Amino acid sequence: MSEAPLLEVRDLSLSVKTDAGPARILDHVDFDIRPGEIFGIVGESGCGKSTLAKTVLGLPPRNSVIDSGRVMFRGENLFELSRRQTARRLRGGTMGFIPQDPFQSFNPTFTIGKQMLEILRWSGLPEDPEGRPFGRADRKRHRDRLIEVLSAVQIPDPAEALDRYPHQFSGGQRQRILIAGALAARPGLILADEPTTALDVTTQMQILKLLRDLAAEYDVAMMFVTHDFGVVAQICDRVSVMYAGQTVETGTAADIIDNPRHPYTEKLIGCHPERSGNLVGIPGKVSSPIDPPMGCRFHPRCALAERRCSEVRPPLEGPAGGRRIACHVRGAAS
Amino acid sequence: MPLLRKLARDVPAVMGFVIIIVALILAAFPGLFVEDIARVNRGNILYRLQPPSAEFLFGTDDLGRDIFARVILGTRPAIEIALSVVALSMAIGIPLGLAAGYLGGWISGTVMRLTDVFLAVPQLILAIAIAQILGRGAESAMIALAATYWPFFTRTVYAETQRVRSQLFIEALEGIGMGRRRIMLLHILPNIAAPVIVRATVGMGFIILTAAVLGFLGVGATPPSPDWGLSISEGRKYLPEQWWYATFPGLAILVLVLGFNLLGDGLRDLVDPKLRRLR
Amino acid sequence: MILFVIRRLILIVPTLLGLLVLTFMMLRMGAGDPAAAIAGDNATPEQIARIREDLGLNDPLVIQFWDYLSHAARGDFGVSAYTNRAVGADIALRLPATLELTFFALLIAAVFGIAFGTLAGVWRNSVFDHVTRVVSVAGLATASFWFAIMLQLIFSMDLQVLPLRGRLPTGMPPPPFITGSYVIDALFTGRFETAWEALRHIILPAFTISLGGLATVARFTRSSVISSMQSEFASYERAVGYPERRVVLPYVLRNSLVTPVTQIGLLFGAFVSSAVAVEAIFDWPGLGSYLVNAIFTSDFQAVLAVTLVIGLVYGIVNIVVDLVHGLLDPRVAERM
Repeated sequence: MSEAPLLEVRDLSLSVKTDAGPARILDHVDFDIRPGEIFGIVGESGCGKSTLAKTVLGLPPRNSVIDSGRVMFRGENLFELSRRQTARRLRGGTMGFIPQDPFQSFNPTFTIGKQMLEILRWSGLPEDPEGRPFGRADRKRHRDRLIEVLSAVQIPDPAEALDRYPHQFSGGQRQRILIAGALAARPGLILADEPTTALDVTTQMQILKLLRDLAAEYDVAMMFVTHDFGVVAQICDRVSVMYAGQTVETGTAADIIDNPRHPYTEKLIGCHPERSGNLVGIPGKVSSPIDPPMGCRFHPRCALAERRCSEVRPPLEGPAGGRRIACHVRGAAS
Repeated sequence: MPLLRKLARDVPAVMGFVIIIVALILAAFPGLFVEDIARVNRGNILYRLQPPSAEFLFGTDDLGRDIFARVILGTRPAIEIALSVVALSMAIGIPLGLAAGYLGGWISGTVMRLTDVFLAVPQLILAIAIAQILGRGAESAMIALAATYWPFFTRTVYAETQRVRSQLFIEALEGIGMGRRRIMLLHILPNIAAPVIVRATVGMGFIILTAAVLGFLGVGATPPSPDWGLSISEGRKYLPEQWWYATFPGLAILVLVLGFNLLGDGLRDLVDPKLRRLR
Repeated sequence: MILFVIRRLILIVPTLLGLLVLTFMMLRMGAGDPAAAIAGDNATPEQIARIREDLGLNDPLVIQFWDYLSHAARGDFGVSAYTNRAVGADIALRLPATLELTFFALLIAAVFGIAFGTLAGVWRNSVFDHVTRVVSVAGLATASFWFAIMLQLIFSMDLQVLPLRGRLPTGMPPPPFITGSYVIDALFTGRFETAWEALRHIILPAFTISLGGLATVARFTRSSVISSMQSEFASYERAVGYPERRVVLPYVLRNSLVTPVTQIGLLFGAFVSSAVAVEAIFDWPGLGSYLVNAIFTSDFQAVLAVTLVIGLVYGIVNIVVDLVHGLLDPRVAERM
């Protein structure tokens, strides 16, 4: 590998305490994101992908425990930072965040400008590129920066937009503003949690194109959480497929889409009506994280399951950074 | 009933329920707790204004009557008046609200303007005026409270009916030609029952409080009724030395109203999914 | 915004007219004979008949109502049968006292209700939260007149730290009239001793009246703080790096205030209701005690006028509440 990874998630396991006992939401999740690339995390709802994004941001769910692993960002272990440091140095500042729902994510009673200035204020960037202090007193420069990123996301009349309220924008525009918010503090990595799910198809296309262009223009890496292989095909360089908290397959997006190996990936791509031409659901339900099946978590729903699949958990095998798969039947070892 | 089981887990609501049950028993069978009911209104001047003791738990009043016994006997008029006011208000308010919400048009306009008029001054003020006009007594207090409380039911029913009315199944029923009256009674009413029940439960507490004010001001129950509001007004003259006289009837109001409010809260949490989420 | 206020003010008129018709009919049909009340106990039937004629009580109801209305429109509410003064003058004398009392009560309810509610919401399921919940539920279940008596018993009679009744100690002259509030007027004119005494006198009645409102505001604030803190925007704010206290103050708080503020309009009605009995208990020379007196003495003119004034104030308070609502929520302001 030519470059050191920007974000390394190593063997990450996380449990949430519930009334019915601990639930393993993330189980030995393992991947890394290189500078400038768009990395997709794909899976059905409930597979743990949003929890993963929030954990990387330093906001694991309430009542949760990290059972194993670490999250390294630019060589710093996130779990070793204090809460406050995590908040100030990693979120906002060097990690940007684009939430799922543009309609609910703004506080309706404050202007766009006030809310976005706040992001810069808490971003914890020590200084701007010219070396001048990026202090909180310097509202004027923060404002200029916001106008800059708002024009970058093609909001018309950005200076005036800052003084308007969220409800005065359409959903697509609000999502653009949220993207601007993620870019504002010059992050190295942006976490996007299903940023297009709440939008209609046309707007979705525009937003995806915008994200691709911006990622290239600003040289920012992106962790893109989605359930939709159609979206993956359009935007992601590499992708990691998750099932019930486990990574089942990773590789380049093109490779995986053209040649899915893991039965679950196959089914997930098959579910996408544009690609397969018909609607095929995956039979059965995502297994419960409280009492997961032995062995491969997917085996109860898998057509190819053999006896060992219900007994031994298949390891994620393959060259580091290359195509890797966790499956007894289709895996590298078989 | 999963809803009832959920309610049973809500400790405050259960407390409220227990208070109400105890109060109902006290109201229905005061003889179980008071030895000689006939003597409650006939005092013994020898025992005048005694402080609380083993014999007189809550002390005695200016006529030597046992305050504990009178507080117990006051439960029945309090519950009676609240029940009848809530029932009367529902009898007036629900049909009006249903008609206004479902039929719309001039009926809705007229009914809602009428509620505006009744709600334009605080309920108590109108109630005092009506009670005074009708002449002092528990019945006129009851009529006055019902005459001023129904708009609250109308408002609730109106809003809920409008909500239900816009749902698809009502349109479907209209489409197959079902009569309006049938739709209102058989399909809308059951769907708005829950908020109405909540309103009624909370209303019980509210009416007990307001009725007590009427009693206190002297437009409600008349002596020698053991009415709590009236007793507080009588006991007030003996402050601060005979503090128990005014204190205990007020505590009784507090406990009973608390019971209805706690139960009403629990019910509201069950009914309102938004609040339920907050739990 | 101005158009909104004007429109709302115009909308009050038919409601007040309806209220007037209602009270008018009720009193004419039921109340004791106002002529007899005016004439006094020793009047002969002939005297009463003459007063009836003078007052126009023998005319048809519609004409009487029209008469009343045309006088009232000019500010003439007739003469009180009880005080023998113009009802308008009586009300002008007593309205400021009631407004001062309810305003202070509102202030107490808003400040403490919002503070307790916010803290209870932020520290959900803590001991503080549970205590607040119990106290506020109990507060809503307390009869205000009884609570007033208990406060008098404890603070005025037993501990003797606060005065028992009235607006000022006997013999202390009230401050010059500016706003009508003794506390504020005395402060304006530099009479600090008077202001202090006025404040001491208003604490118990204002607190009594505020009790139910305080509980209501606290409960509404708590639940809306909780739902705001669990909202998408709060989680977004955390995700982009706001510190937690910044998420709560002011971002969650401004949102959470919207619901309690809209409650204050309703609370005002409850405040006036409890003021009726509480004013009587504390000898507070306001409209509430005036109204009770008027009802008991069949003081027809006074009852009508006070009902009207309370209805008017109530309507205005609700307009103000809507305006504040608009200030807090830009989406509402847009519809004004």
